[in-house]
Amino acid sequence: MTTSRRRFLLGAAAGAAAGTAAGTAFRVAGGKEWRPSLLRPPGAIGESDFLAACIRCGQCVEACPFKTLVLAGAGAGVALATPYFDAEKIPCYLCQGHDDLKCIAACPTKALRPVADLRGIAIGTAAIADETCLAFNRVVCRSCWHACPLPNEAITFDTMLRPVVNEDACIGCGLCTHACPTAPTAIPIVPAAGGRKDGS
Amino acid sequence: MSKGRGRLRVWTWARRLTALLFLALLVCGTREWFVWFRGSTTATTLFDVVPFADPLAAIEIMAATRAVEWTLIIGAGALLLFGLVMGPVFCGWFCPLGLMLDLNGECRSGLFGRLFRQDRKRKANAFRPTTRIAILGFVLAFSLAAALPLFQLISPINLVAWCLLFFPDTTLADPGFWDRCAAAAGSAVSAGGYLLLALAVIVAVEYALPRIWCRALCPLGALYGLVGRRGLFRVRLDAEKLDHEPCGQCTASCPMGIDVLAEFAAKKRRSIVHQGCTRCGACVDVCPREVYHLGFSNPQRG
Repeated sequence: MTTSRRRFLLGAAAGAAAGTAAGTAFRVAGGKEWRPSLLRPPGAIGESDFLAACIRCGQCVEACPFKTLVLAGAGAGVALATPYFDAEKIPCYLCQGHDDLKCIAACPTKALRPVADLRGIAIGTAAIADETCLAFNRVVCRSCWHACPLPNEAITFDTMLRPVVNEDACIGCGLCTHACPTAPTAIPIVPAAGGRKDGS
Repeated sequence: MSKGRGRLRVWTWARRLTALLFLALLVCGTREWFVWFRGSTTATTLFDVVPFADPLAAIEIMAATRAVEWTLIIGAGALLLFGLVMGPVFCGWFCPLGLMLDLNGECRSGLFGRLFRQDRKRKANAFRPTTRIAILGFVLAFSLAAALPLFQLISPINLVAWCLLFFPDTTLADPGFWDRCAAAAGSAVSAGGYLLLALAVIVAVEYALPRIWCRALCPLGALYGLVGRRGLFRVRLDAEKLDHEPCGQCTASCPMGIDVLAEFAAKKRRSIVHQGCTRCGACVDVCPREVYHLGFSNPQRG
């Protein structure tokens, strides 16, 4: 074996050793689980798995018919260039009028996985801000309920005609967030911990 | 023969045009009306069915997820097979960062040509396979250990693509074409953020150490170099034309810092088999005696 070839292989081995050490240290220091802080596309797997599986190609963004999805910028840290959406700007319309969920079909790495139906989606959960919600402030408003793809399941009303979110049924599409006449919205979406209703 | 200087650099411009077309294809893919192509430098889909995947990105994802993904294997396998036959042409002919650095180098030699002309003899400007492979080993091991595709997060190749494809906010409703362009550029800069500084550093360092990224750092180049080293599409030598004192312009022109003459002289080959050779054709274009050509077979003479 020539010296240059030996140096080459040694370089590869040294790099791999350093990478293993740095990667392990990063995982230990950073905590094993990444918490979701962004609203992921429907069908996204749990955040830690998602960050590992997402190849950052943006094909889901390009496939989205409503321009809902965008790629996260430099402020996103390890989530750089992963897809997310801002429900106040453009919510997830769940590909209404299309035969399937386009982002899931576009994903090359199974970071987004097919869901059985709408009810299998778990982007997040709507949370009503009592202080600003009109219905909590003696104004008749049903904007969120009208916008909800699962009315009377995910959003119902109490005896005072105030909206109530059923956390088990809410899929986090953000249609209510977008429809809310209050600014900032009185019904933001809290990103889900698990990603999918089936828990994968 | 006085064809050296002022001659059209056919290979150089062919490769720049190819890289520009590839970039245009990527950018068009983000438009709604362009449905035949989707994706970025890490993974793309042609005609909604044919997948392609950056081999390094594919390996990193499979290492990070510890799972086999057939879409990635097929997509990366196709490109690796292409690289096996054609050599590391991705670097020379398709890489968006390569295009940027190449054009930057053109500006550099236009501005400071004389100042830097003889700098190929400097050791700092040589090809550095060992650091490249060490970085490749590092990012792969890191991806496996940390369950994150490290290089895909920090790759300046991806960054160039993202800043052109995804970071410009095209939903901005500002009136007027130039206003919209300015807004899109502004949003690309803010989304690229501090990462653009890293890119700026790479470009700035170019002026002292040309193509240091490609020569000494890029792990993707290292992977393609390993696979495509013996690719059949090579710089080949017409031995019959080599009847002169070597002028050394080929060595001086090589952006990867390969001593082209030494490759032929020391190894007594008629073609370059070198993991750093990106088949860019710079030496072919610069040679005043047209000793070299790029192709699949050596010239046959009776």
